[in-house]
Amino acid sequence: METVKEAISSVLTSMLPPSAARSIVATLPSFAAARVGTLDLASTQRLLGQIETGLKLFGGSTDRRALDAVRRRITGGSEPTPTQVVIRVRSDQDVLDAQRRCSEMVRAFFSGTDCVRLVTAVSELARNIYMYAGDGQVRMNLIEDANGVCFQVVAEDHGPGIANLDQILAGRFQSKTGLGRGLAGTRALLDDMQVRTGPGIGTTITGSKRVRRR
Amino acid sequence: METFVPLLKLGECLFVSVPNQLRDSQARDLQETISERLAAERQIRGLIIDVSSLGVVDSFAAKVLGDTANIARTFDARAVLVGIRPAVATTLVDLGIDLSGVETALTLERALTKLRIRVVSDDTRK
Repeated sequence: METVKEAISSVLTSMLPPSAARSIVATLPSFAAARVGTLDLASTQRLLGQIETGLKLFGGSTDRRALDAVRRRITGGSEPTPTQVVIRVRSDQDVLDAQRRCSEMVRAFFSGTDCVRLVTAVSELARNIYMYAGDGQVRMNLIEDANGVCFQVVAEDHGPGIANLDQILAGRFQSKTGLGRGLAGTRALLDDMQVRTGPGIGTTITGSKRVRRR
Repeated sequence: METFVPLLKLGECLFVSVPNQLRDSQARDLQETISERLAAERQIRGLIIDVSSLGVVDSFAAKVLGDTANIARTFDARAVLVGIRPAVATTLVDLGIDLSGVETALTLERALTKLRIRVVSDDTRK
């Protein structure tokens, strides 16, 4: 099996002047050494973004055909595997890690403002775990389907649960640590959000945001 | 871990640039350092907080910023936030965070104008 880099090189060489193709290939990140068909969704998108920039700079065109051809070759024809990140949340450092990983995951797909919305939402969920449950995990997924890409987040802990959930979701509860509407605000940053909570079962919050195909 | 916080005096004003990726404890340290400086230097009338490096401001960070502005007020200094990114501002509104108690300015110059502070160095005053 060829590597992603070799695949990109051969597609670009067949469509561009050799020097332009070489220049673009030279800018590829190190993970392009992976085998064709093994890259996940976020890495695939980052590579394509890089190549798109390269095409503008060196090829003088934003021709979608070259990009589509590259995409077909490096994914081996099938859809790239979904990207999944799991972060154990036990400290304030883990909250920052969740922010950073989320940002890396979504920046190739969402607009600048939506990226900040998502990172902020993940940060709120992670901080809730660290402050109220002490230990838990945040799982983030990027899934691609016919309509576009969907970001999903699940924040799970086995803490005491949320006692006054209805009040909190209605935005009528002001905690001593927060400044805003807490979970209600987080829900506003996402397309949808569900909360399952109770004494003994802890808290699981599931949320998602979708981006339509361009 | 000690965090280095650039805290500069600018005439009658204190200028602080908030670093990105602060842990909660470091954010609280920053708040404490600022209040100690405000208490120690009596002639300070304004506190300018530069948040341009913050790519994300969640409710906790917003709370720390709001608290810091309130602390400044107790030391008879006005706090002005400068350089908030457009995407961050939008997100704060979505999140329902009320920062109406904190003054903001688009640029450092406007913040200084707002505070009516002329920057005159001690060397040239006489």
